[in-house]
Amino acid sequence: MNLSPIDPNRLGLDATNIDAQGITLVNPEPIITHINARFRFPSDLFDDLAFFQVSHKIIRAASLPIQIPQKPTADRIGIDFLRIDMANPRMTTSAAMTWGRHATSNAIDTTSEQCELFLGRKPFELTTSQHHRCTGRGFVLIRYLGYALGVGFLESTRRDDENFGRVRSMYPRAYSTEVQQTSPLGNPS
Amino acid sequence: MPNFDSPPRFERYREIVPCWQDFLRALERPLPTCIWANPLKITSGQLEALLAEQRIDFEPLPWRSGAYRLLNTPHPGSRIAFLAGLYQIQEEASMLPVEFMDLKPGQRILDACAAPGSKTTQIATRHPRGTTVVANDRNYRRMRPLARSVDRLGITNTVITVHDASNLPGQIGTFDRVLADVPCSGEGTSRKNRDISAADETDFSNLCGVQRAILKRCLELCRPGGRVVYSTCTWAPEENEAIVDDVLREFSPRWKLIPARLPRFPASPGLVHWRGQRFDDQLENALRVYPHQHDTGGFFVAVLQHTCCPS
Repeated sequence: MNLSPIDPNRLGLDATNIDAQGITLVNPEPIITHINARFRFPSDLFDDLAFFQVSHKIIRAASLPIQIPQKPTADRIGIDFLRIDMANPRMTTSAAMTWGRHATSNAIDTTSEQCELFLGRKPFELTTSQHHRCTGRGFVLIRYLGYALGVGFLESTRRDDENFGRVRSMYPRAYSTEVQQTSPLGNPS
Repeated sequence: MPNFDSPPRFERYREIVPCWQDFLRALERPLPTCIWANPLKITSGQLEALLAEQRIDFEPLPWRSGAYRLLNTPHPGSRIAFLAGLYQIQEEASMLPVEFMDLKPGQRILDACAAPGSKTTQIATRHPRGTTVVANDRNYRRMRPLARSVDRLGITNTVITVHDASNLPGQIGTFDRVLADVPCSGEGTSRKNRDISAADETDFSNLCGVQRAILKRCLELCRPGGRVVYSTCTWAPEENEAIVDDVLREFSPRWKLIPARLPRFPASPGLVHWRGQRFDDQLENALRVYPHQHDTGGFFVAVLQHTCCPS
């Protein structure tokens, strides 16, 4: 992914303050093209966002016109959007939770059993109808009752593969630990 | 039931708390759990339907739309609707200060002492388009829950900084609205923390200088015509009226105290005298909240308005 910097003035942002924070405003086009290739979001969904590269790992998204201070150094600006330190950059859990309900491809509307497994960081199998909504091996967005919960990884779409239709949970360990003591869906533990 | 044989924990407030026995009884009851619908992800009607579907009993708060008191619901922080960021858990009295900020689209807002961040999320979700919230606290560890809430609720208009609020640099810029929810002795949280007792001179010597310095810095960072809301979760006049009175004297006549009143949340006015000390008459415009008035925790809110031009 070619993350080229762009002039903050183009988006009405203060270049001095962005420089002072040591972050880079980047061209949104390759980011949006990348995630739309997989999840097919509405074309204008990310129009009001600025994307900042804050490290070699993370792109953050903030709503325009975010007025960033020059000092003190920001611990965070907006929310984590894309992990870029991997061959196939992936949406973060926070981005998936925020925009996942708008995805029209590779988004899984889970059953309560699948949802419980996902939140417990356990793999689950797709049903045939769920499988039809996926275009191939790769990241999928996990929803329950239409509300997005995070990211999973569809292991295989080849019927002769032993991992066919299997989704690996990428729900953060820290989040999962918090819900292990109870039943998030309101069922008896 | 309270033990009436020994002096109650907050005996020093007997003369200022209305209906003293009701106050003591309220302190013995557990604190209700309250939530509000996250407008970035769900409408209040949709949340009500979802809660009903999941057999979660609730009643709407009469003074704030989209906020609810949960009835007999254990672990609201691990329910699916919470995990998906559809609601935020926040103590009812703690929701009050933001209601007095007069938030409008396009404003730049500072939450000077933001940790653990419930009020920041309240501010940031009110007018998400065009608004910037700078959420600051000096305690990095206590800011982690805010970062988690920002991710869960889908908040994109917030900048988090870690700095001493009394010494924020001028390069942070100026703000239309500032919330100074300062560190305090926390007496008003005594229903959920049984170890909290009445503040004493040691607390005052540790806290009052910091509270005064933070409020002063917040006034300095506020734009002409702007507003600063000062709040604590304590009843000690030393940390409330005395601080605001002190700062008002220094910043008068550019700043005045405007009434902190909500039509459906009647509470008590601020004090104009305490133990021989006389405060500015404007302090009556502040708001004191006692647990027995609305079955909440305790709170103090004062609203300072810059008078040089209309906001």
